[in-house]
Amino acid sequence: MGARRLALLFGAAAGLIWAQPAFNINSRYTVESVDIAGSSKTQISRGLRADIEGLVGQKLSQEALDKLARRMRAELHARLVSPKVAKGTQPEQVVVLFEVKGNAGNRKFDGSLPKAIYHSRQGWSGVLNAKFSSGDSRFNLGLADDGDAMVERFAGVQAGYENRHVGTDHVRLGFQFASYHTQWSRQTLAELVAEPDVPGIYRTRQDFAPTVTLVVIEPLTITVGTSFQRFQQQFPAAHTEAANAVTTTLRFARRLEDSEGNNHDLEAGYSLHAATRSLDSDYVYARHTVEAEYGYRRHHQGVEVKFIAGRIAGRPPLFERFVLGNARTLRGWDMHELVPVGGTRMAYGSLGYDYRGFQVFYDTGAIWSEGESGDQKHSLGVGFGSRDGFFLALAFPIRSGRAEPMFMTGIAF
Amino acid sequence: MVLFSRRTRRWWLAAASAASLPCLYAQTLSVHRELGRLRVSSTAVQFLEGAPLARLHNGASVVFVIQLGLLANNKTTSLARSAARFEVSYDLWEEKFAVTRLATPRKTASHLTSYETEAWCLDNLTFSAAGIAPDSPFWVRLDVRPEEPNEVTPLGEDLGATLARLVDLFSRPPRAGDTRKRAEAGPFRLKDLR
Repeated sequence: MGARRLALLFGAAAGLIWAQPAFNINSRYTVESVDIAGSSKTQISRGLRADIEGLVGQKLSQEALDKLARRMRAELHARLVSPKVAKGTQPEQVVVLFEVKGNAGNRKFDGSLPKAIYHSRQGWSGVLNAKFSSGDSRFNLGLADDGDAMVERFAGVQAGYENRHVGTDHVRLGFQFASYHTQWSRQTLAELVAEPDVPGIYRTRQDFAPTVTLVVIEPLTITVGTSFQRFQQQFPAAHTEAANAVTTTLRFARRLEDSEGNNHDLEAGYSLHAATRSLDSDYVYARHTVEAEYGYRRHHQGVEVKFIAGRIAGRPPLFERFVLGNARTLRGWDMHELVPVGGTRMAYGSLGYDYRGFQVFYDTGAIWSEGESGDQKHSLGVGFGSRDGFFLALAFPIRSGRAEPMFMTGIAF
Repeated sequence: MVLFSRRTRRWWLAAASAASLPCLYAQTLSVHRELGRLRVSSTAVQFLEGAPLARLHNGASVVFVIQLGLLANNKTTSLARSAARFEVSYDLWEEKFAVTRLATPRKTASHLTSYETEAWCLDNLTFSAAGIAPDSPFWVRLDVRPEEPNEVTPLGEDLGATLARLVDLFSRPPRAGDTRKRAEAGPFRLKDLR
């Protein structure tokens, strides 16, 4: 009897929620395109951008527009975001324009956890950020303890400043500073003894990186800057060295929708770190990385293909060397076992399929250094991933002999 | 140098406050009697204009809270009230208005001009003439207030707000930028109405 009453109450509550009025006569029209005025699509998060672009091809919903406008206002710290609808170029179709006005007068403070990962071999890795915005200026202060991204485990503080409107919305200026203490795995220390050509370990590392980002033509951005890294070498005697480089990153991200309503996500990027003596660098090298990712989504199913390749010419310090075999690449392999000191050549590919968040994936890749031949490795895995960044995966390295699976979980954006 | 005495300043303040009140129209409402009910029509009160009209032209729908009140000759005693919420939208392709009365039973009309939309809303607010003496004078007051886009309607009140809530809405003093409108007409006598 109690359960029945509870069900009735729940039904009544659900009925009230669903009884929200939606009597806009324009809800019979289909959204032809969505655009943003007064801001840039590159300034909002990937999830929000996907949801905004997901309106195309759907019937107009004022409730959906209002929700997205509220999310945009929060992300952009704008004073006002108002959705405006107008006639489309085709009959029975409408175009939506989100008009972003001004920055919120009040200053905003918020915290975020952009990375929190557990890897059964590398342990916990996480980044905690606190952001403070005032007008076009944003300050951030963060703590990091990451054993997943590089050969080293680094822990320390990060601080940054960004101005997102330098005369125009198309130019942004940023300064990032980080100071870390490092820890090294036994495998890395042992391998360094066997490879005297690879630069040695360091106890601390500081990085200062001023950058300028130009929004060339949406969604293409180019970031140019410099990175001044100082690190305290321990051998043969404690001394400080510098790796000062010019950095360039080119990024492209686009979502397209075909006539059947299927989504095509395309992301591509190229980055260059060029350290030269003219910047008073003790190391001279050029590090090139190319990344491309394509995702296809049809209803509840999705396929994702990813490719990363990198090459370093010269003699880079350990933090610049490539790794494979972490929570992001060649899942199932242990990077300290595969490449204890990293490599200067790398190629990686991944193919994944998911149905309602449940995933199967195949990773393959090779990592080596100049003068060596790369040994291609493979892995298979299953997992679950949600749109808000949560993931859980169990990956198996494909190899002869004992194959120990790797378990990974957490959130990463 | 004192430009205004304290009393004069008070008068100026009162005048400024009165000017900030919603527009007041005189004799812009007419009352008709139909099958024992009173129906009000207006020739001059236009609420589909200004910021709400701009929102409608931008494809959004706007909810108007409309209240009709019957007042005794002293204009302070309320004899009867009728209030409802109306959701209006503007068809971007047909360039006509559509309106829905957010009450049970729900009523909808479309392909209307702005004038027809305003008239339709008033047509859907009626009073019972029972209880009003045929020869006692009364006044009619119309209040119209557009809801703000971010105004949250409590759960369960979407399909027809309770009269108490609507009365409460109109009882609050107007805020800066409030676009509510008010019109009053009278005195009327039931025996004079057709």
